[in-house]
Amino acid sequence: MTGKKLYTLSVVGCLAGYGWLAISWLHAGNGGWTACLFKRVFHLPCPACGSTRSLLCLMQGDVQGAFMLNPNGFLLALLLVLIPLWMLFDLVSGRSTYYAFFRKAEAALADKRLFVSLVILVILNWIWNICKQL
Amino acid sequence: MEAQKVDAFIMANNKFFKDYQILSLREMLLAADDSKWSFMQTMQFKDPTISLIISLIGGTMGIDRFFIGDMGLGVAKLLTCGGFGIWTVVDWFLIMDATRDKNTSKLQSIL
Repeated sequence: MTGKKLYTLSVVGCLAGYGWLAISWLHAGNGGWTACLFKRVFHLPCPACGSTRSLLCLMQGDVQGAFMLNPNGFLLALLLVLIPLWMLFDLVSGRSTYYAFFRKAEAALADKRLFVSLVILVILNWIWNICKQL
Repeated sequence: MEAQKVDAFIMANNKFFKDYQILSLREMLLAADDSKWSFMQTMQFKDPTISLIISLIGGTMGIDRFFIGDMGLGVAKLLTCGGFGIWTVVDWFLIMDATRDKNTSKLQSIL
């Protein structure tokens, strides 16, 4: 992936993420609706189901509730804060540290041991999601 | 490289590349050294149809992106329920060309 494509995708992704969060915040309590195609088709939660609710809990300061819903919310919160700041830093300094980090992370994920450990974590979280009936 | 070998390679593997790239790939292969032939014979390309099937089934979890080697995008898709479901649907239409692009890059890397 080229640097330009990564920065464009990250901007679009962050805007979509904040937009989604705003919509979910405004409609919190209306419940029941899900954007997850997997859940709609198979009637089972996917590994990321509950992330929006987890983020909304975090925004209200309920850290334990956020963890119990889906620990994925912490990671998303970190990315939503960190990525715009990192891109802003790159824009101001004229460097491409974010792109360099992305390339390094991709290369690291190509390592089978790291990839398999992450897959196991995701599967465990998925089993937990299914048990919680998110 | 001999034209006969190049044409045989392209005939056997044309489904792995975009239509408009085949002519330029042919030129590149013709200009390449004969020693590359053994590498080309053993190269494994990703099938665009398989990636579409994976995208239809496991697109929500980013498995299609992991399959073609886009680890970063795969993780992003996995963490966001397939981009709130929208990216999953968009990828049903994009994944075949993305797979062909990956195959082209892979072939170009050894030439």
